[in-house]
Order: sequence, then structure tokens, then C-alpha cells
Amino acid sequence: MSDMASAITILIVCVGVLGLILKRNLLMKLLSLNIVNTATILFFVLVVYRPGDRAPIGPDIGVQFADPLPQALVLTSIVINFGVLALSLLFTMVLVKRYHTLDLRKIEKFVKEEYQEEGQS
Amino acid sequence: MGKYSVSVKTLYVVVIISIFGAAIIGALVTGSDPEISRIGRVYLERSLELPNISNAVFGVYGMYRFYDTLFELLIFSTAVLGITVFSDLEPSLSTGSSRRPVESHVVSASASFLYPIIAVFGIYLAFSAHLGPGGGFAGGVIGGTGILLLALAKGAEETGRKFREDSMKRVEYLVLFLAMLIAILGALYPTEIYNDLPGTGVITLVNISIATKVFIGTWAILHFFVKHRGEV
Repeated sequence: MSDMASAITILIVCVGVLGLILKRNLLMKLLSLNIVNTATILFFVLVVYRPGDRAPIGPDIGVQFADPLPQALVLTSIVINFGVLALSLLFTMVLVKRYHTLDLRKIEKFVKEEYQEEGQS
Repeated sequence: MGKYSVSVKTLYVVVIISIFGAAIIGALVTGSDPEISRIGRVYLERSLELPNISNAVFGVYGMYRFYDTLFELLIFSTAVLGITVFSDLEPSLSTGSSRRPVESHVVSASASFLYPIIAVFGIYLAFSAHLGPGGGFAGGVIGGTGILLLALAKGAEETGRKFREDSMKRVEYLVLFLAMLIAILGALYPTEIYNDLPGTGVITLVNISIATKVFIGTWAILHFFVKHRGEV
């Protein structure tokens, strides 16, 4: 694992987390979440990278095999990323259909007004 | 109120930047030798000892860490369930107007002869996952995106009539149960299941069940998004 490369990976995660907090657009938030996910996968790749590794397939003939464990974990990460992204896009579609905006602050205001109207009636 | 939220947001940013900055400095200062992990070496050696399995990654996600795969499948089917339930609960999402398919001759002409090739490639990846690169997840996703090509070429309604989700749903949970059963049997009798059987029928069955499950889930998700897409 190269030090500079891992530092850049952590920097990408930091950018994604800052985007999750600072952006008000819901789609931008989902994009930031995707950036964090991709940077995590990149970090997994960097952790196990050794020059001259071969894929862990085939009989043991004295070659240097790569670590199979992070590859299986990355598989899990990719599939869960897909599921989370699909479900949150669905929720975004529901919110946009109901409030006609992607701005999170406006959506919070609308929800608060609806809640107060329900309390009064 | 506004002033309070701005100061809290600034605090969040400062804390996050300091935490990640410390991590970056730590990564720059501490050098580390790339070394295969201890558990990974154990999995590698054990997988290569079995004559039926030559892909060590399948050995990890299909045998030794099947609980990871199981919970991954559960999370995936939870996402699919959420999408189908919410698309039923929110009738305003389904516009009802039948959208015209993409009017591109390249897509409509290539889909009819590209789809069988894509499907066969996905099935091949699922069947040969214990021998070479591939796997159930990859095969299922390739099959699902192949149907996405069909849906873009011929329209979502027609393709949805051909590959019905509600009848596929029953297969999905059956397949999940089958994979769990094989995994439990494999944990109880590892040599009988994974090693001594003639051929590799049981291992292939695990991969085929994972591929079927991922195929149905991917198609359910993609069908929802194709059906409710805006004007292209």
C-alpha cells in the first residue's frame, strides 16, 4: 500500500462526507454517498495491492497469489451499494412527487407545516 | 434558529476535516509492507486444497464466509421488497401512460441478437464460478442488464409482461432458501458436500441460486426505474 495513494483515498472519502453534509440537493447527497462507496472500494484495492500478484485461481504452482478475502468483501460492498442507491432514489422520487422540489430545507419546511396542520385539526 | 444551524454545520465541517486530516497524516507517516492477511492465507490454502474448487474467491464467499453472502442477499432482497411495496403504495408514481420505446434503430436492431449472447454469457459465468473468474452475482447482474437492453428496445410494458415480477418473486425466496439449505449442509458435512461428490453439482447449485436471486432482484429494480423514467 503506497502511502500517498492511501492518503488520496482518505481525501476522497472526506470530500464525499463533506458533500453529504453541506449539499442541500438530495441527488447531490446521493452522489456524495456514491463517492464514499467508491473510495472505500478503492481503499480495499490499495490495501491488498502487491506488485506481481496473480489472481487466486488455479492450482498452487509456487506463484504469488493475491489475498482472496478483500475481493469477496468488495463484492458484498458493490451489491449493497446498488441496493442502497436504488432504494434511496425511490424515496427521492416519492418526495419529489409530493413536494415538487429537491431542496432538503424546503422539504423539511413543508413537512413541518403539514405536521402542525394535523395537530391543529 | 438559522444562526444556530450554521454554527452547528461549521462545527461538523471542522470536526470532519480534522478527523480525516489526522487519518491522512497518519497514512503518510506510517509506512506499511503489503502482506497477505492471516485469515486470507488460511482461506487461500484451504480452498486450493479442495480439488473441485480452483477459484479461491468463491471459496471465501461461497463456503467459509457464506454468512456474509447470506446477509448481503437479505439486504438486497429488502431493497427489492421496498421498491416493489412503495411502487404499489404510491400510485401517483405510476403515470400509466405507455411510453414509446427508444426510437433508435441501432438499439432495436442490436437488442434482438445481442440479448441471447448476453444471457448465455451470464449463465456461463454463474456455472463456472468455482473454476474461473465470475460468480453468481456477476452472472445475475449481467442477465438483468441484458433484459434492461430488451426493455429499452421494445418498451418496458411488453418486456414486463414477458418477465413477470410477481411470479418471479416466488422463485426468489425459494432460491434463497435453497442456498441457505446447501450452505448449512456444507457447514455440517464439508467433505461430503464440497469434496467427495462426483462432479460439482452442489457447488454449481449454490452459484445458480445466487445468480437467479440477483437476476430477479436486478430486473425488479431496473424495471421500476425504466417504467417510471422521464422523457428520454
